[in-house]
Amino acid sequence: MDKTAIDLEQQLIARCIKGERAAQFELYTKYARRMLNVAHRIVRHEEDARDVLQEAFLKAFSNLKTYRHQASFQAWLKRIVINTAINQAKKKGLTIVDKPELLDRAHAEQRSEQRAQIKASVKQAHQALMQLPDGYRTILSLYLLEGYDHQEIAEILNISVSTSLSQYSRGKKKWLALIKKMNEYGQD
Amino acid sequence: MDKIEQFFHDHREGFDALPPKDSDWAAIQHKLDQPRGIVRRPYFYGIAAALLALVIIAGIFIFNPQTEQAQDVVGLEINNIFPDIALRNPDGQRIPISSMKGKVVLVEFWASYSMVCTERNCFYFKPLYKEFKDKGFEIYAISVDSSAVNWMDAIERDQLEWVQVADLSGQDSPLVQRFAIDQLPMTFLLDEEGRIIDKNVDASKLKSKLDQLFAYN
Repeated sequence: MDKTAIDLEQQLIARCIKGERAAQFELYTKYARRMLNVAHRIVRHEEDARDVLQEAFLKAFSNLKTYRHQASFQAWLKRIVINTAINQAKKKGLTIVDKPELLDRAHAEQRSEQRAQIKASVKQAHQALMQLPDGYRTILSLYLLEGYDHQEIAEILNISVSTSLSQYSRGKKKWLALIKKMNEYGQD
Repeated sequence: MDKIEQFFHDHREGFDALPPKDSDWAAIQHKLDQPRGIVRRPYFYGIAAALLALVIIAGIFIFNPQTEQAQDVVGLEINNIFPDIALRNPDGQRIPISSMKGKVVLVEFWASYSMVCTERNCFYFKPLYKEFKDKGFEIYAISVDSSAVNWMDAIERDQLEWVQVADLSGQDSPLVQRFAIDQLPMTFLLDEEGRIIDKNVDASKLKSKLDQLFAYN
């Protein structure tokens, strides 16, 4: 974002703090889709993701004053969404960090990921991602789509950096294997 | 960047496949319209309460001639009675430390953003709390967070069951000065009378300390 865009957003946020409904709607519209999908990739079920979206925006609106512009607004909002989604996932019994037994099968699947060509449509790629177990899906999403590094992911999920690293690399293999399977069975 | 990273990077927008519905905004708007909505209430009162607590504490510092001179760490030595502060919990209730007289109390200064604190809470304090709470052990956890969301999320995420309070003023909080907080976590162990019996107890030694204290109970 350039400087004018940031200024405009700060004005918008100031209006939201005053409780202007039109401003709140504008801010919501700007970020709703991204945030809904951030939540969806963590909680997997659409209805849960919508609940998280609503709860997170309510939290954001009532705590806007504590947003101090150190991070971009999107980054601040995203952390609220992610935290809310993780809490929701825990309530629903999702295992954000998978048990070790679940990991080993994926481990054996493929070693040549560096050379592998990705023959997939974005739709397939998205489907494969959503089919991954909770831990893989969350860590892959946070790393590949939300731009967090493993240090940050470890902090967000309250796991060690090495767990994040190993789950990430196993998750990638599993994801590639799923893509391959889709191609073999001619799924769309 | 490997192939997978490149692929996700190139198709970033394609992964946001799920569109928001009008009903999502309608639900948010509906809750915003409720003056005391279910979701808003704890945060609203929490913040209001924290501000009130801050004013009260500031008032005590400004108008109490005895503490005026002694704003530094004096009074926080071993054998001193720990000052009776009363901060608000997430529900907005004020919890004075003196209400815990008769219990052995661990006063913990912490923050949700500190990994060391999270680790202490989860791996050391949780099992200890479970073991000793029925014998008369309590933890009075004072957060120096500035964000109510992060604070409450950490409590919920790590399922911390002991007393949680904060003034949500972050580094600007008078608590930071009053207690000369220069590290997190910082802890004080108080006996049944509220007297400081240990400071910054090594987490791994806390158990033997408590074993000793509760040996005759």
